[in-house]
Amino acid sequence: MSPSRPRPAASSSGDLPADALYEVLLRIPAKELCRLRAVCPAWRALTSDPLFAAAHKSRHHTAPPLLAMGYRDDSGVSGVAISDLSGNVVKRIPGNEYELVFVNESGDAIGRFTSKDDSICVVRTRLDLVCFNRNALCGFFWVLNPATGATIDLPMGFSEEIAHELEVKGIKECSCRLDDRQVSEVITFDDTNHGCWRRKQDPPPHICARRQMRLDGVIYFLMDFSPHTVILGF
Amino acid sequence: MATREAGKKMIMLKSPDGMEFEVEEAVAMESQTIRKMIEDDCADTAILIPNINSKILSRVIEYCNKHVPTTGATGAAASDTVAPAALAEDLKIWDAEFIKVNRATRFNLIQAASYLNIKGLLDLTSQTTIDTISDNSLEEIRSFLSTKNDYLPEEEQTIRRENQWAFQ
Repeated sequence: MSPSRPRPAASSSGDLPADALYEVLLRIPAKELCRLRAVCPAWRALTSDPLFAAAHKSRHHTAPPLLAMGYRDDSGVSGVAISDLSGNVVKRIPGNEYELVFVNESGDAIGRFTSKDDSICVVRTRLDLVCFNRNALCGFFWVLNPATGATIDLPMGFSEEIAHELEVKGIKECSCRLDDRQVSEVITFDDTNHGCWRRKQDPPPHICARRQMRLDGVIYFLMDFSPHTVILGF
Repeated sequence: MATREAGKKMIMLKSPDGMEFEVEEAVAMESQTIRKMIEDDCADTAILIPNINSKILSRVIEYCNKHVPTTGATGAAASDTVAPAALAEDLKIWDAEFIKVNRATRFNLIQAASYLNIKGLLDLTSQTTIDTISDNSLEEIRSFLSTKNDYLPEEEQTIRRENQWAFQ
């Protein structure tokens, strides 16, 4: 046994000895482990431990890493390309096409904008999923499963808590800011891809979420108020 | 005590309850932990295996005896006459019989396999528990493992909500 191995609290591990519990949980897929976090605090602590997570990852992710990036081909079709680290594209998943028609007051079309004029931008990749948006339709986000090609639209709007707060204050929902604060929300989806936002603790003010870096498990955000740029650690 | 017997190097394994087991070095080296001790020259005398009683240790040795690769003088005859597929099938049947033990023994075997770092034995012994955990509700898992749920009801609700997708 590695001396650095995290151990669950003995009082909570029940009949299964601590080392045996570690070995069993290490062999369980990540999604199932998330469910098991509700068994007891010791299981949650063990499965959240960075050392356990690293051991679990090396056991369950043996394939070399892949990259996801937005692409647009010569015919104007844009989508997400998956490539290996040598730059060989292993899969292309075209995005849905769309067309926006701009009309004047009398209903005549005065301009068109189609997906051929737009491009796709990969925002994040996590848990083998790709989150992307489109340059022209900022504010809309999608989550793509590259293995199946299934895409989920992230719902617009806010959690019930914030929607209520906005209503009380008479602020329209299209505003992304609440007073001068940034708000933080998370979303989970069920099997039917139905999800709704939940409120989380707000980040400190003036955080620019795009400017972040990770180092040894700590996320550093660049705070973007001028004239000084400050790095804040969590 | 390392001795030579009929050309095979032997290793002595001792359990904390005072039992001694003389096994072939190749068999003992099925355990990566023991292999490392032997390779690092820490195994001149008998190796004490802590925390594993003689009953469990004898089962572990039984497993290693069966699973040691059949190469060299003794293995040549077996692999000449038995096809690899048949050999694998035979091992599978043997494993299925081997694991027909009570729950406490199985848990102790997982722990022993973990300490001794015997991958095949770990996979074999932990599978039943993995299946049980995967197929049952949280309440059933707690009851099966006698795990105490230290969450406050509201804490548990929060954790469940955060991981809602995994319950679908």
